[in-house]
Amino acid sequence: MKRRMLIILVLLICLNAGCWDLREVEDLGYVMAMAIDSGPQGKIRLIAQVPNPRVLGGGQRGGITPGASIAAKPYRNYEGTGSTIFDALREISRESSRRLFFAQNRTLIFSEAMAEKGVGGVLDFLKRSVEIRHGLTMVFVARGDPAKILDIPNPHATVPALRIDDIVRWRGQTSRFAPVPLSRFLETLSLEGQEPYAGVIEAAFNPAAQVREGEKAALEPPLTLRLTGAALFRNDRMVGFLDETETRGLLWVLNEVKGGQIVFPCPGQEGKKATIEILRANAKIEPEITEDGIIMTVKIREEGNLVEVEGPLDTSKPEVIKELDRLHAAAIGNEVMAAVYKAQELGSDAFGFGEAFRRKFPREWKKIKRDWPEIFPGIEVRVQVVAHIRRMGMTGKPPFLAP
Amino acid sequence: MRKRVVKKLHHLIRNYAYKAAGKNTGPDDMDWIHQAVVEKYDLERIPIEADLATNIKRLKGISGYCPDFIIRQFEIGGGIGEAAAIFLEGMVERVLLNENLLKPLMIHYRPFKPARGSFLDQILSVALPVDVVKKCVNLHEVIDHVLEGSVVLLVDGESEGLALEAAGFKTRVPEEPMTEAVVRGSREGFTEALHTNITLLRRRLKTPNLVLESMVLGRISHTQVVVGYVRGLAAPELVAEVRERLKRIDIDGILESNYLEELLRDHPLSPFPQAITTERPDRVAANLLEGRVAILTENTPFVLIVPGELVAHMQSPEDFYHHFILGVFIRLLRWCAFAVSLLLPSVYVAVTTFHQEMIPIRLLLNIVAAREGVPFPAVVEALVMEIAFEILREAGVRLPRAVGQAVSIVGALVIGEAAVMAGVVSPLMVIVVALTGISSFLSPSFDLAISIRILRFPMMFLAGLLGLFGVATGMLAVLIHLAGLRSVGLPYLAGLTPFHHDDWKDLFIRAPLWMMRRRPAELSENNRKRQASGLKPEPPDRHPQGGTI
Repeated sequence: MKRRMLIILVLLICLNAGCWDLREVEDLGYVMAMAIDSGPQGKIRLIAQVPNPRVLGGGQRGGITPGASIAAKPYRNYEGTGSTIFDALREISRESSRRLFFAQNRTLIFSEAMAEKGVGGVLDFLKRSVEIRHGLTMVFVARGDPAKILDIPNPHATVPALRIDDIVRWRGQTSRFAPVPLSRFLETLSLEGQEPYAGVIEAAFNPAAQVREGEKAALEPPLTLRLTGAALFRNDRMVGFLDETETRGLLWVLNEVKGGQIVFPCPGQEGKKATIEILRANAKIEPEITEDGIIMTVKIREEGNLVEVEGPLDTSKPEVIKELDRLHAAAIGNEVMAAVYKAQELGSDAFGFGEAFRRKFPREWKKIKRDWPEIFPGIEVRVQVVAHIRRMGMTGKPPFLAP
Repeated sequence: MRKRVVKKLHHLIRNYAYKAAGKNTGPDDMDWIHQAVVEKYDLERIPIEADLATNIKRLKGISGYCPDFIIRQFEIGGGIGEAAAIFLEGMVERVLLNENLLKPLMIHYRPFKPARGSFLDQILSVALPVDVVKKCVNLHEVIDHVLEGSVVLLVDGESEGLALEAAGFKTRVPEEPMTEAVVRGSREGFTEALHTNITLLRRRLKTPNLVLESMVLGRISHTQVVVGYVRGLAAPELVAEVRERLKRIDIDGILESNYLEELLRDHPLSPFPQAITTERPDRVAANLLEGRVAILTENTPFVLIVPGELVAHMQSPEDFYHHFILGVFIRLLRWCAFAVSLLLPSVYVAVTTFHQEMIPIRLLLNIVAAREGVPFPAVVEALVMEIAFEILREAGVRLPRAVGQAVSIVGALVIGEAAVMAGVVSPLMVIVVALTGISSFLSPSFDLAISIRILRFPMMFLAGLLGLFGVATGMLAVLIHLAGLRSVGLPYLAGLTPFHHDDWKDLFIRAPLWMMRRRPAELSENNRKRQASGLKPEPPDRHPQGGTI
């Protein structure tokens, strides 16, 4: 009897408590990219990109061609305006047949205006929401209208959000833009000795879209999507941009360079250039307190492959290699210094020099941390680069080199 | 004690009833025997009379004048004495009966002078070239031997009969087992004939320590059941326990070994099999070598092996017939398939309806696209498809072979193609169900596959209700249940836990033979070493003296 009651109770629990969280896959709208812009009258404008699985899903349904009917468009950008971000989100639900679902969102774009105004208020929602995944979401600042950027067609990745995701995945090809996960962004925001940074996304002119005379209208869209450089923040406000060289300078110090190319003058040959492909790199910040003030020494070790030399160069000679090592180390040092100067000018310690200082001199840090924004632009930064070329490629001596 | 009293009472009442009906209850009134149920204790009270005619009359009455119950009356040696051969047609070997019994007695028999012993002894010693002969003194023994396929010889003037073993009924020859086919290995399978099965086993274990204990179970079926084990390997307590449990069985008929399994299980309500069933003599032999006990049942090719814990159900004899690397691979594959067949549909349902964030976006979009327009929730879809699959599978087993093919084609087309085209189910669900179904066939034990098949449904139900939390709860429940199970006293998870280093060599992997030096720890505590050490083959120049056991 007792047993029977137990079974009945368990069944009751199952049947009454069950299914409350149930949502079928096809009932959800998977937001893959979100853009937050500041609208008129202090309102917030929100753009959410939701893919259309009917077009995207594999199988026999086949691909699409740009410019086809609305039904065949692989994504839909919902736009909502509200007083707060959640308000704007719920506005969108009035036109979306599916419940918006944010756990698959991987791109978060702030418009330039929004970033300059300060993102702190908006970030609170992103921190509180259970659906937003901080490790998955990459933070960007858009140059130009984010709605436009999120609507640039591309034949390979049919959804702009997926395209951005793929570009981020191959960031090691250049290391010239700085995507940052939301988790890292929030972490640096909370640190006293480090300021946040974000990647920059822009709609660039698409050279392939030019229509030459006598040709029919190009199938290429006039704009193309591009990730470039970095945006520096001071607290939650954006203070300026780094160009691509400076961005890599920042990434060297942050240990975020996963690869890329370094172009530098070819030794002993006027106007000729050599190119290195970065294999791996490692950086360390060593703070020092001297009578002249604080000195930060950035020590970078880098290894690369020689991939291109314009002038005739006998790479079988050790002294040539040494010279190449020296020159490309100098190129790396220049990148870092460019970034440091720019950051000092903008007053944003995205490198985490303050953090490095706190770790080494915690007591002294307590004294200066209030003044760090004023101290940072004046500190001296030294760069020591040890660079090595590991492989020369397939060619030996160039044939036109005199013996 | 109670039984005996009841029996006696029963007998008294019956005698009283006959008397009341004005009938004579003496053994010579054959009418009542013919009409009444023949009980063993009735027959035991009727001795073999010296008068042959009386015996024959009684036997005819007992047999109920069955057409196959033959009583062949003849004269010994042309008038020396009257005799009758009693046997069941079809149960005895005709040639043996004619050549070794009738011919020597009827034609060649010459009386011996001076006579030694009784007439029966004389006949036995000079005229009956039959190997196994037993004497019987009452009608129960006569009937018993006849039913087993012996020929009983009754001679006029003798109050004893001779039972000559001449069983020669038609049996199937050993064929390749249908349920446990192998690529490499013995192609012999057990048959319905017990003596053939014993021979198959003996041929594999040629040792006097292979003990076969026979008992007869089933009040009406009188099924012979043989308990086999290797003395010195099987724990005596285990053998005693099996014997005890078998003796407890008191049932009218044992038609298949599952009758025994169900009656000797430790946990009758558990869906998990608690004995290994196999048609393969090599599998039985291998298990006997591990210290297990086999139970052979007459009239079925399926032999029970106890204890049958979980790990033993995942081991196939073929694992040891191929290179051990393949064995390792197949073992791992099998455990994976085990998990897949239990969990795949429920995990699919849980993840797609509760945890969409767990699926990589591109796969997720594919799933969404596939489910677009499907009118049912994923749980319902999964349950319907799984049931449809089970229907097809069951139909495939029952259908006549010629029709089976057609049905499976139609089934596959209807379920796989048309249902997807009609948008009733998503193509992904078809993949999930098919994968699940196929995976369940990887299990070397059909019984275990059945229990997994059945457990899949509550798992799906839980997944539909509570998502992965439900699946985890279900798995936990199954694990707790497994941990509490025993198979003839052996913990069901033996081999997995408690941890024995050597046992793990034959668990998720199949280690090379030269590494598996010990028998399963929980089974053969007293005799663990199964091979000499240092058996690993090595080039001769590096080979040491060789180990000792």
